[in-house]
Amino acid sequence: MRKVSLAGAAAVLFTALLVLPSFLSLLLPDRYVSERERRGLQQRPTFSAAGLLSGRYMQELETYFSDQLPLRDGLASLNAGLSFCLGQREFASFYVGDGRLLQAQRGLNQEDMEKNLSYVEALAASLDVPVTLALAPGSAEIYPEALPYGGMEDDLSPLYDSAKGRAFSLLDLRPALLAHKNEDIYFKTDHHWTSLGAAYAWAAYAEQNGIDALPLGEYEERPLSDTFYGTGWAAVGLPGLPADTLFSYDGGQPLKLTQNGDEKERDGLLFEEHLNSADPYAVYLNGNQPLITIQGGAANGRRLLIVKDSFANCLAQFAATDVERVDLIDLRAFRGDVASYAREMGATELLVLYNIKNFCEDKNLYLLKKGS
Amino acid sequence: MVFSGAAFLFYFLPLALALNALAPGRWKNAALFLCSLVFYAWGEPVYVLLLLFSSVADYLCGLLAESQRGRTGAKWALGLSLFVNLSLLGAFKYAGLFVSSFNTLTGLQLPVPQLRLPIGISFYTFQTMSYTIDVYRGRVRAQRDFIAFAAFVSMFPQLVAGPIVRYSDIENSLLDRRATLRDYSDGAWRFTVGLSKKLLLANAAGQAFENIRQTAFSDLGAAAAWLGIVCFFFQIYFDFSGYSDMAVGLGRMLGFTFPENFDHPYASTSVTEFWRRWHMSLSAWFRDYVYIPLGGNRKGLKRQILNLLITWLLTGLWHGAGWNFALWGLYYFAFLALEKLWLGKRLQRAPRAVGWAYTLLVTLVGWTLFAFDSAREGGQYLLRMFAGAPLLSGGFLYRFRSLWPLLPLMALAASPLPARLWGMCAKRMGEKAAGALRLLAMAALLLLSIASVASGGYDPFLYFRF
Repeated sequence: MRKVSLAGAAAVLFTALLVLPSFLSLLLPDRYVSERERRGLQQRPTFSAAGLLSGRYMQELETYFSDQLPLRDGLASLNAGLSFCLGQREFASFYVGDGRLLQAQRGLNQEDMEKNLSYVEALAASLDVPVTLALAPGSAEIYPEALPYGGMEDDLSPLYDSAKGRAFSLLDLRPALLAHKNEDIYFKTDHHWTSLGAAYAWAAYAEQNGIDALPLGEYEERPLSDTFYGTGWAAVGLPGLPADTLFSYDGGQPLKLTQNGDEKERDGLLFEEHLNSADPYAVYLNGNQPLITIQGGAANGRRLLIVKDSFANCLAQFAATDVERVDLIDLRAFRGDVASYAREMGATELLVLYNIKNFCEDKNLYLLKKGS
Repeated sequence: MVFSGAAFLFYFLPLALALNALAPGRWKNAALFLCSLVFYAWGEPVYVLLLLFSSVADYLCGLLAESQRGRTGAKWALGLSLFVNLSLLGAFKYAGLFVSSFNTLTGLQLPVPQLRLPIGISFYTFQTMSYTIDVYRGRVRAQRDFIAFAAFVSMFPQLVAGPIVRYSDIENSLLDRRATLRDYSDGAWRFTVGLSKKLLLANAAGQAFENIRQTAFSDLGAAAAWLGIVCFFFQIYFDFSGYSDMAVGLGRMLGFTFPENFDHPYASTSVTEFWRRWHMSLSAWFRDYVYIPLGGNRKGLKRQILNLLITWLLTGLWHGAGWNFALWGLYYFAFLALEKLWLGKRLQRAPRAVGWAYTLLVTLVGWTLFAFDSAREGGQYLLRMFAGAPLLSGGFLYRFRSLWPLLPLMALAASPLPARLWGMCAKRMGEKAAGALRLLAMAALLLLSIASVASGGYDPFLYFRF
């Protein structure tokens, strides 16, 4: 009798664990996005004969079933926890390091680098204003000691070195950032630098280019959110990671911003509606917009054009304070001609600012050649 | 459909089990056949016709072979069955290989057929062939009930990754089967073990191998190359034996007893023993339907070696239409022949550890031929392992430390030790406590497996070339 009851219990347990997920997902409404993973979830696919014959319908249904599993976020954390216990320290190209998540930057390719450098050179050659290339290091370069098991990062100095002695000037940001590595200059859960890190980077640019910069101490620092979980957090999915804080820095001057050549001008550079969204870092400059124009706070006649990735978004608050006008172009979406744009806006200087990994891997920099 | 996906686990399987439980005795085969068609069509909507075609052909050939027994008609029936099945394999699996090899040899530019391989074709054609051969030989009676026969051919638990179930294995349960509560719970446990092997161990090892294989070979240090192939060694074992465990478990839940397919192969102390413990249903198939009909060991040593050569060339090619698989088969032929002629007796006299180390080394090196898409790539990888690549480059220390808790766990799980320990514990504790412990283990393993499915991580299907 006892044997039977144990066998019965096992049978019930097995069946229940398989039936429960499907049963619950029939009762619960479908979710559109996973806040946890920062991505849209598969919705119930629409049936079609063509989809059935090609098998696409079944593939979508398979994704739909797993995306809409009840308690999915908790289960995925459990899975990440198990992998961590079994030794895994890298999840979707983020290291789980000592006190921080660090983006892996290995496998960068000298040839890709060379190509993109040549596009910047072509642009510099066609303009008669100074062009600076600044490469933002990843946090793994600033905090190598935090890498788990020593990490597997390549020595990136050949890449930096290859950018020297060109038709543009190179700004190596590493010394400026390394000097302040004891401060919170990189997020612990995101691949970007913090506003503070960007401030030191801007100070280095200002110094190299003779800009009279407002000292950091003069800015008013304001916390925007102390529950910022960044891209690394979304990739790793381990429970119990600490949150980051997003800060804004106000230099006291009125800054006016327009997006993508709109008529509408707005006060300030912050878009606080993003703070509770899936991408809180978009609080700076509304995320990656093709073109941003900022009327700056200093009447010094300097007009700066920044060609950039998202690392420049939190740097703009410092740049705009110290020059008359800053325009920011994101080549992933901007489809104009950069050289003509620079002439049109009367740019007095040009800054190409990318994270080193992004710069190497970017496939849009060829657009710099257009018109030059 | 794959066993490790949400569609199978949470929708298909509960429905199939319910249908099986609700269907009265003579409808059970119809229910199983229907489920199997849905299961196969899920991943191969068009190729389900091929499966049906093979079933109908062998159903008819079987009837014919029986009614014509002893006459030439029976030979024709057998010949037709072999022709149909081997043509299916030839057209859908090997045509690309043969045409492109022919082009290479002759310098011609014949168009190479680009058919996608129907999943499981090597399993079901081998099952149907063995059926007709057995009917021809008078070992089994032909099945008159087409639904019962089609249920045998298409049976979803073992359709896509084995074991190769012969008609004689399940003839009786096909006609009358009943799964007791004990069968159901034991089968569920076996399925859970297999699912965990696949999702928790094989996928982790596979991801590690994938990471290492993607390193440019010129950057790959010797130690990292060895680590990579050790990971593949574990991946293929846990994946394949996990699939077989799941098949055996599902079969049991439905009232079948499938043959065992793996018996701790990595504990073998000779290559000959390894192949008695690895993919046992395939080795037995080739033994009974190729090696022995060729004459086996009954026609002198020279002929025996030739028979071995043919058998192992075919065994290699069965695993995929590529010359690297043929090479892999010949590689094993060489060691099996060597053991037969000379090494076997010496291994028996040597300490077991020597035989074990030798067998592990042979299998590890063998997997390099298997793991890559071409013999050339496998060869380049072997060079990194053996030919003086810098020892520690390619991030070996980082990769090794990322794996060190997993590796001993996998080694333990692949050894016969857990089964032995479990036997001892169960004896000590008594059946009730052991049953309760197993219940807990099942809950934990299922929960972790479901978590792995939910995370939607790396979950490759390794049998798309079989």
